[in-house]
Amino acid sequence: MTVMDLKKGESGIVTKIDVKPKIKLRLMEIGLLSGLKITLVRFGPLFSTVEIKVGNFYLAIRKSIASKIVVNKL
Amino acid sequence: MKEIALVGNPNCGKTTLFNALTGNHQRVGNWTGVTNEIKKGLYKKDKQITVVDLPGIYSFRAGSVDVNNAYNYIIKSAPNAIINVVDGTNLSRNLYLTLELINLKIPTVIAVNMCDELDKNGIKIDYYKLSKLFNIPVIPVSALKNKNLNELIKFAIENKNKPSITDILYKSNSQNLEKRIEFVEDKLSSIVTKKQTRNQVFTQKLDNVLMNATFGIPIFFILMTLVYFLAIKIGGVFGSEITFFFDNFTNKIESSLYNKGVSVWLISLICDAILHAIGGITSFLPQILILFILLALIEDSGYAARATFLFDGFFTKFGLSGKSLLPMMVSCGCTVTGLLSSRTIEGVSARRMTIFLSPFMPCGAKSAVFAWFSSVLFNGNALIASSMYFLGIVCVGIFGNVLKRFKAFSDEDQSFVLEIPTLRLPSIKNVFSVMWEKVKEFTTKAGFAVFTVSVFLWLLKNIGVSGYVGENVEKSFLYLLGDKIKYIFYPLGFSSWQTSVALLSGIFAKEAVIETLELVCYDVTAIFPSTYTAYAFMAFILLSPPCIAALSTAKNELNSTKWFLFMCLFQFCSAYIVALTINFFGFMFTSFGNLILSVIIVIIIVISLIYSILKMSNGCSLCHKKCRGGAKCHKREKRFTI
Repeated sequence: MTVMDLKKGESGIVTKIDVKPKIKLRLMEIGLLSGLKITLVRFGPLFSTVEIKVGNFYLAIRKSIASKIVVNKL
Repeated sequence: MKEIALVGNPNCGKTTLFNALTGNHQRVGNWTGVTNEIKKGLYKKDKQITVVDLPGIYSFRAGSVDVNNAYNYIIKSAPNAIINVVDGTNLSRNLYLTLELINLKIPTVIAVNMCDELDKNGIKIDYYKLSKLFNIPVIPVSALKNKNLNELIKFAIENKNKPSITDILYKSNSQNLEKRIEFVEDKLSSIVTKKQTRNQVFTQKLDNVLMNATFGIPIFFILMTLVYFLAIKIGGVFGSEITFFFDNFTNKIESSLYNKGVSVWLISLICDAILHAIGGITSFLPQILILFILLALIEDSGYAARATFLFDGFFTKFGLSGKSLLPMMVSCGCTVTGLLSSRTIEGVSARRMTIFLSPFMPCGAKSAVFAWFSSVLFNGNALIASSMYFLGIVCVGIFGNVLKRFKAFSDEDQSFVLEIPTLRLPSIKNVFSVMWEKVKEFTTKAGFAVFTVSVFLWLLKNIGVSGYVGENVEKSFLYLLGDKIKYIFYPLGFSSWQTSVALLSGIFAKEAVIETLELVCYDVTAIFPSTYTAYAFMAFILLSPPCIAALSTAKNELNSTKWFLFMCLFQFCSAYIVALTINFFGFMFTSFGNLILSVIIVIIIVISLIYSILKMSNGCSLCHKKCRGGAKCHKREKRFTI
């Protein structure tokens, strides 16, 4: 199950981030890591972007990345 | 002389701190990446200390231009001390950078900024434990409210400790950033405690409307229409007052000079060139002023990031990024500042495309030209001037789609990540300091350009092969020049020497187009054979390469002569094509007078545009299959390379 499969308001624990190392690093820098709890806040227009809550802050990521972040639904 | 560098994440308040320490008025906003150059200032209480404001970064590892700038600065000039500014409301993420500062081996102090907002956000931080964690001083400060700033500098100067991780439990693999992050994450749970507050709940409720997938975009357009409407209407009222005042003033000076017996050419130089130029600039200053205040309000409140989120999906279809939205919005005020704010875009191709396309937006100077045109040639029809905004947006879409077919513009930026800040009420202090900076920038840069162009043009117009020609414009150098290049514009319908000269002067500064036309022709309506050629001329001004100030900024940002030349060619060609199309259709409609035919053609164009956009969203724009134009697309190698 990936972030894109979550419904609005659902949470999950990140188990795997299946992207290129460079992008993985960038996600890590801004605080999106395996083992963290994330909540899907909302989808953007055309489902092209999603807003997620990680810890105390809100991030917007693209579908292309969100569909590669594997989560365990809570 | 001691140098202290401010290092920290984007949007953690480094620039606000820098301003508070040095008394400067740098631009700040509730949005990441506002600072894009390294700025230095002297500490206002001790001029022996230099404070350096670096662009916000999440990490020193490669990424955007900003990161490299910041890293090179620290490595090359080795500051005496680093103040690591961290946002107390987002502590865990901010500390990753602190972990990297360990490797630099420079004495560091942590400044926990926005400490006054911590209570509001329901966060408590144990500063003592945090200080123990890295073995360096930690000072809670508030740059906005001038809290603890003296102590911060004192600690930064006296501190000799370099950051290190002291916990004895933490020994293994200390170079591994990932391990360190896990370690810090673990420790933080005992340092920071938080609970959700009313402000965050409120932001979430408001975001349900502002960022709604269906209503968000209409709300954005209503808001922006309101912004530009207010700027143009209110600014226009003040502007016409200023014009009226200046005209009276110029007339008085002219008659008093004439009575004193000053020679005719000197009166003409002072009144027609110099005073006229000054009056022209100041008359659209109010408009730009109001526009920048309103845009600053939008940025400072945090709405800009939300608009970026909404538009990312559409912009990526044109090869742009959601982050291209702000540069384009700022470009409506001034293209130079718009181009500078494109630096936050991570993807090279999206950034390049933003630089290519941002000048299509009508900047303050261009919209002054359009306002002038609509009042002189279109009986003050406001629709004509505002249709230029629409034309600009449509051309960004169409030509973005064209550029996307080139290989250099087709890489999707994979690492797009955007932080959505908590909404907050904009601070009056910030908004006014932004406004002041803008006005200064505008009057010095644009003002100087217009001034020199007017004097230069006056000389060209009044001096010919036989010396001073005065009223006989057709013997001047200007006529000779315009008469040579007018043939280029023959297919576009405006082929008089006056318009050619006006376009030439537009390269120096767009507002100079008005100056030139007023200077070289007695009746502007006479040089345009019909209204649609005047409209084609306006479209040409909108899309042709921007003024010299914007061009030099674009060259810097592109960092390559090849791409810069390609950009100029691209913009000239797009302007030419669009003006040609307008002229052609205008000719068709007026010649045959067939309203139904024209409506049908417009409908066909609109439908095909919508169809092509939908087609793109369904699949690949190259082979129209569901490969999404990625590496697997079988037509991918057929893309043009340059």
